Amino acid sequence: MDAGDARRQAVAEWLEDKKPDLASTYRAAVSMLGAKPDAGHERTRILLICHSMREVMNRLPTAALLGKGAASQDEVDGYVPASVQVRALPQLRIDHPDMDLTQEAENVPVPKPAAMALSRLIDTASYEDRRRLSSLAAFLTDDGNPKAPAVKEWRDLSEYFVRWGHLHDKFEADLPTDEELAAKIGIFDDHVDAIRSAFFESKSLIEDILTSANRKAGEAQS
Amino acid sequence: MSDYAVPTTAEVDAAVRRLTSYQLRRVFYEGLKNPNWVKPLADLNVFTNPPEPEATGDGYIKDVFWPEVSYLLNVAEEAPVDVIDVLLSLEATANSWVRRAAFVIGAKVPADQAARLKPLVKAWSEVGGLGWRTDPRDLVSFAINLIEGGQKYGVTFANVLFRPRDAEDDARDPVVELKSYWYSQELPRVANALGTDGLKTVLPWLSQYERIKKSVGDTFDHSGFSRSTVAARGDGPRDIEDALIDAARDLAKRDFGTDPDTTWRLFESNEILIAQRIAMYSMAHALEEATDPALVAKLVSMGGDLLAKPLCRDQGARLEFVALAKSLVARSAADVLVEVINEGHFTADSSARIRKNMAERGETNESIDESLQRWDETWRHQVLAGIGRDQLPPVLQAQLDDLDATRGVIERPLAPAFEMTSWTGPNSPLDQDGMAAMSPTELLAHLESWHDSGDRWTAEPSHEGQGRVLSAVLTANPLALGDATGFTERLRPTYIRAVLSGWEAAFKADLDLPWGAVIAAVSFVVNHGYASDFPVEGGRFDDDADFREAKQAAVGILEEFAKVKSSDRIPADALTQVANLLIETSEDEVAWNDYANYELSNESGMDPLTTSLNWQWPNMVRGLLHLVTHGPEASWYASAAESLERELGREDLRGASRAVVGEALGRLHDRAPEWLDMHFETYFGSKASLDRGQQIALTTAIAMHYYHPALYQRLSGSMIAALGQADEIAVGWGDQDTPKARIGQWVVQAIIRGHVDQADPLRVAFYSVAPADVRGDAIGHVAWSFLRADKVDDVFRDRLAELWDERAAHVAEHAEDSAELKDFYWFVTCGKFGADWWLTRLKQAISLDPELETHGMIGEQLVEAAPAHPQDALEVLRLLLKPAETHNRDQWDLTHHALAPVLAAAMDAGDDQLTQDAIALMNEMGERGEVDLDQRVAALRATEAP
Repeated sequence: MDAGDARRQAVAEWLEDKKPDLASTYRAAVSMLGAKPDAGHERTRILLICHSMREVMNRLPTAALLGKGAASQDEVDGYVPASVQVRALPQLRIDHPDMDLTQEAENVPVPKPAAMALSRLIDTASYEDRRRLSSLAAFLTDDGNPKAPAVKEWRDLSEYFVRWGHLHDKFEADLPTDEELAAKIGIFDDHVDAIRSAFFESKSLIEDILTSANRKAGEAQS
Repeated sequence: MSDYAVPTTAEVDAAVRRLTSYQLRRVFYEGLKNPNWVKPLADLNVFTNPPEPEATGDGYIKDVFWPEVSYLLNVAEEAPVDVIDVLLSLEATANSWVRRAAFVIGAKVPADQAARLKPLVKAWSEVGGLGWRTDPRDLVSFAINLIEGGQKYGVTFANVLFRPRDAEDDARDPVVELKSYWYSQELPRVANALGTDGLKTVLPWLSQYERIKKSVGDTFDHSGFSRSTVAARGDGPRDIEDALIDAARDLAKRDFGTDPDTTWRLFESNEILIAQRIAMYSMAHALEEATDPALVAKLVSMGGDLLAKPLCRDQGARLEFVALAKSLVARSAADVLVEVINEGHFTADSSARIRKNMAERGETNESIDESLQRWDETWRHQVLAGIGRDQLPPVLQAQLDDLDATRGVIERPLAPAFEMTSWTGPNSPLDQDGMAAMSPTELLAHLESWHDSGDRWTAEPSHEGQGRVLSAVLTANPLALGDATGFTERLRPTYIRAVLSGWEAAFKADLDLPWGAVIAAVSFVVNHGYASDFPVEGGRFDDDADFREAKQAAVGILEEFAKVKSSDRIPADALTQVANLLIETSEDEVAWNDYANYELSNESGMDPLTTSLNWQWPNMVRGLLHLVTHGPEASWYASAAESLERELGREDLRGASRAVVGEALGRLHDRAPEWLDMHFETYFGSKASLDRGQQIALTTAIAMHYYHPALYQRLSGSMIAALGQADEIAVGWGDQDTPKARIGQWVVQAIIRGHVDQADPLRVAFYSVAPADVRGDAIGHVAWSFLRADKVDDVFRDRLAELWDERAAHVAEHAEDSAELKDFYWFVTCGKFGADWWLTRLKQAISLDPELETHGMIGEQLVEAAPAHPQDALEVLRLLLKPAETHNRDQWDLTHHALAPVLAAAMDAGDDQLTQDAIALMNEMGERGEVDLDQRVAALRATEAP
């Protein structure tokens, strides 16, 4: 087993400890990446890999924080997920057939039930965004700093996997290569590795990074 | 920028990804030295979010260190542009570490880059200040960097730091950015950096300071009043005014020698007294140093003009006037001096103003003329004498001779007129050596004839000052006044008091006294009325107005003589006279009235025992108690006992006499048990009753005596009553917590000595009534006393151990009493208990009280215990370090002393689980800031390996 495999195995074991489903999904993504694509199924293979990784990234912060004793925020009283509220929107069209939200005016009159539904949806979406950000920050940093670079990178990476984890109507010219996907999964591995490592293990790695960072021009990178 | 490698984006991203915790960020940013990382890191927004200070709710501010700032400090000199860019983006933060770092960086980057910080400094000045954590030296270094780098902002910032400002409340204390100490330390640095602009900048600061102090007005000028001379003065503490005067003086000394015209103009535009004094002093110095004839001529011309100024003839400017006059005379320019001296101390204007003021106060023209003439003569005399006869031209020599003839020679004409830098207490006209060298006759004559002529402005000699020296002389040599009697009639009461005090001190130092003279002197004072025949001289506290204090001194020395232990050193007849005099003083109603009628509110919390030491009446009671403790065989016993009981029968609301009785308990028990038996309940109360006076006697007795089984038995009832007091108990010595804690200590002592069993009423009362923390204090105090004992018998130690187990079992059933365990650390620290015993108990105590503190006292003991008990030591350490915010003192002790050795011992024990536990704790502590713990443990293990 090379160092990369050993690290992925360690990541998978750590995920297993947090939530076995996540470990399984992660292993499946890595396994698919390692397998040769069947002819004609290249896009599907990428979709499955990225969708798996997206699911892992999406669920992992909550799973890890629950392991630390944090309460599930879904249990907040009166909370209705935005996705559920969205499913109820078509009923507004039925209830208010004359409602026209596309009028050419600066302010558009809206029936009160529709206005209230939109207001709730906006609030819920903001709340969910804050909650996700806050969970993510708490997962990735010890001070829950949502402005930490790691938080932004995690979200960017998650968006990447979302993009390739779904099919789109528009034509997709260049599919990501296996190397690119491996690098992206590697970034995920870096984050998990940083979180799962014991303090002095991480410190030792950082000292290696410092040795390399403090090298003079012309010296080989370690 | 540097010869460091430029990082790739991937490299920077990968590094930042690893920084998941505060301590890892610390490791990284403290270790990163490559300046090429500033920009890429900034692009990742790592420098945007320093933690803001948080109020902790207990009045403190939590201001967390920001690790990123370490890196900015590391590379500021190599990447100044990037680092200043980062700092400029942090205007909004109130993090004090950032503010501190900004000035450190501003002090070492090129000045043009430092100047870019101006908007940041402006914004911070307006909101929150320059940072409470900012080192004043860095602020000054920042200013100097700017000034030396030619940045105009440097002078502006120096003004921010050093220019005195009006206080917001219009008070007279000028406000400056730096604290006084740093102001005076750092001003010379910035003054030097200002170069030729130094005096131009500093002199207005001084003028501004004096203006705000309101020491200069239309009709007066007291500027620099506290400086008797502008010359340099030692290395003592200096205030802001001193610092400004010194800086201006040093700059002016230099500048008069290099650019006299500009320097002269600066002083012309700062026409206040202290500035003119600095000008005279500095010009004198420049004249002494000058070698260029043109410069000498110019300075001589300016010097003449300066001397002629009215301000320069002020009495307060005399020393500087003399300095400049001497320099001018040395340069053969005596004419101007003759002219000024002949014009005199006053100009026509000042003379007219003084006349007007004095006339308004009702003084006659004749008296005014006389005063003006006297002041003028004094000034001229002092100035001419100060310059020195040999240096004066003949015409002034003649004047000096006349003045010496009519007014007497001035012995120290250059002595400062005043010194207000410190208060040294009353002065004596004779020092101790001088007085000790006198014969008794001479000394007596001197004391009799010396009179206080102090003007109350200066530290002139006084009777009080001379009395203190007299006391010291008699302490060293009780025969300094001979052994004759009768001198007391010739001395004022101040000196009699001093004589008695000196003899008392000599007696305490085991010196023999002239008993005839001593008894006669004491007898004289005791029999003298309170009124003194001597008119009081000097100011307040310079001379005793009557015999009160002398009588107090007489009672003091009698009380000392009356002690049983003194009797071997006193001739029998003298001792009898001592007893009789003491009994006689007990009838002094004035002493009682002075004591009893004193306004209690004036005592500011003085306890009864301390009061007893400071008043004549209770001290007399103390003396009577000494007489009684000589026992019934003493000839004076009956009279002394009668007087004592009579005096103790008075209603003593201040309680000092009861404290005196409590203090004497042990002596009474040993030497006058019959008297004590007869009066015990009266003065010490009982289980049934304990009034205020008895509380004072009891609490003083238990505070002042070590545990003694007989006293324990005598006082048990009273102590039970004290424990049961619902109201605050009256305390003779110490504070409110003292009595119950002291009772507890006696109880624990009685238990470990085997003097009492479980049924002892006082023991039962203590453990059922005293609060848990007091119970904890008691057992902890006894464990502490083991620390101080070279040897503790096993039986005592084992009984204390049994008692601990008994109390721990009680806490196990009564969690609310966990404070009883709070002082267990003394059991560990005292070194009298084995590690196997205390490790087990400590674990139990922590389990009963998870917040248990060890007061920074057990780290070393844990280290010693760890090799033999690695598992228990690790467990105890883990439990003590469990709270995320361990008490600071414990945190330091445990992490600094114990952590690494205990971990090393656990890892060396050869037990896999123990090793894993040790590694887990090591990682946990690493996260909490012990970032080098791995290296410390490894170093220990390498040392210990065979």
